[in-house]
Amino acid sequence: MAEIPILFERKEECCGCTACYAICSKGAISMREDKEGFEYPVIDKEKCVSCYSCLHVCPFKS
Amino acid sequence: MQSIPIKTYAAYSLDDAVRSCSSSGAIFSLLAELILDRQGVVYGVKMSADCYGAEFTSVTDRAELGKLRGSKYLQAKVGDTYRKVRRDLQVGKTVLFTGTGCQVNGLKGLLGQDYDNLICVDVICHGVPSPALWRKYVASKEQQQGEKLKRVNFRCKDLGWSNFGVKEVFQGIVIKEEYIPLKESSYMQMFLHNYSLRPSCYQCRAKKEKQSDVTIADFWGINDVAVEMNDELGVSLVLIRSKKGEKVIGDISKGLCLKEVSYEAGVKKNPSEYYSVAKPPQREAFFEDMTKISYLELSRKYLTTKKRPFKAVAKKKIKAGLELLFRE
Repeated sequence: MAEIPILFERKEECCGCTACYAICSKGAISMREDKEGFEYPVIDKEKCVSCYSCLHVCPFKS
Repeated sequence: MQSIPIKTYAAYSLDDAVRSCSSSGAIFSLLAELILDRQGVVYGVKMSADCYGAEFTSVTDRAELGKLRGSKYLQAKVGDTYRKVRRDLQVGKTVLFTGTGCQVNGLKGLLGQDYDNLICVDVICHGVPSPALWRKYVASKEQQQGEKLKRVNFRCKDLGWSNFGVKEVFQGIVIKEEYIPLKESSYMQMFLHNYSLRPSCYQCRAKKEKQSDVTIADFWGINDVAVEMNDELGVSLVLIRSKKGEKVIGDISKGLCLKEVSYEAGVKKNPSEYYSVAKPPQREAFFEDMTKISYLELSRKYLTTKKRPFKAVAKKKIKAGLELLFRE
């Protein structure tokens, strides 16, 4: 089975823009606040079909 | 790689009333009015109804533009904004999208194609402060005041543009206004000390790749290049980054006082155009403490503000500004 995408490894690699959340046609990504109060995408492994659209639209990955 | 704009201007709107309630020279307002006149949609950031957060919203009516005016000093919730923008573009509406550079780049990433009917404007960004810190601050202030925060203007020009402060309006039985000089605003000082920023802001990617059509900001170096333009009501720095941007600034130029300057002169006193701020060594400890101690304790621990005769200085500057006005 294909692997769940990794949107960021360090918090410095995510600006919280929501492009990944907006592109996901499965509604598998939600934006959640961390304890510092900044939003980061969280992938629901049950809904994710590993299409990697989220990685393709990420300004940090292009 | 840094993207140098096509053209750089010092500019302000000729409408003094709108300019006085804008952060800089009211360029956003003029662009927004132009788009609304074309039956378009303007996307920008407003404070939430309870003032506890900032969020993106769309406006199609001039009467509602006021809530998007004025910079908000915390990261805004984007929510479903990108999808709404895409829908508006697909049905042929003209869209003005305003936000930070990374929000513009994120939107463009989602769209994956150019739209002739999309204009993107970003602001020169110092970094985005934590929404949780803002909530903690507001809760603390409301407790102290015994009333609810109704409005906040992070860029109040009552004492002049270059000497701005924060104005907070509390609503109880009576309406209470509080003006806080910048140096005395603990929330703004935490921001200016770079304690309260998002981790990615210390190595901002969006500064290296600008995808907006126009960038707007304060023209802090105005006195070095066009002092005659500084009447203390606010001057904007306008960086044109695309043909579309050039066209749209041309379309509002009748309502502007406009002067072309060099890019170097424009950004000289606004290094956030190309530099990310350095992460202070205390930054992680600051956020650890934010979740553990009260706002007042946090403020006492990280800010050792030396009280200066700030109000006296402010009055002197205003006087100088007024003299300039009368001399013209």
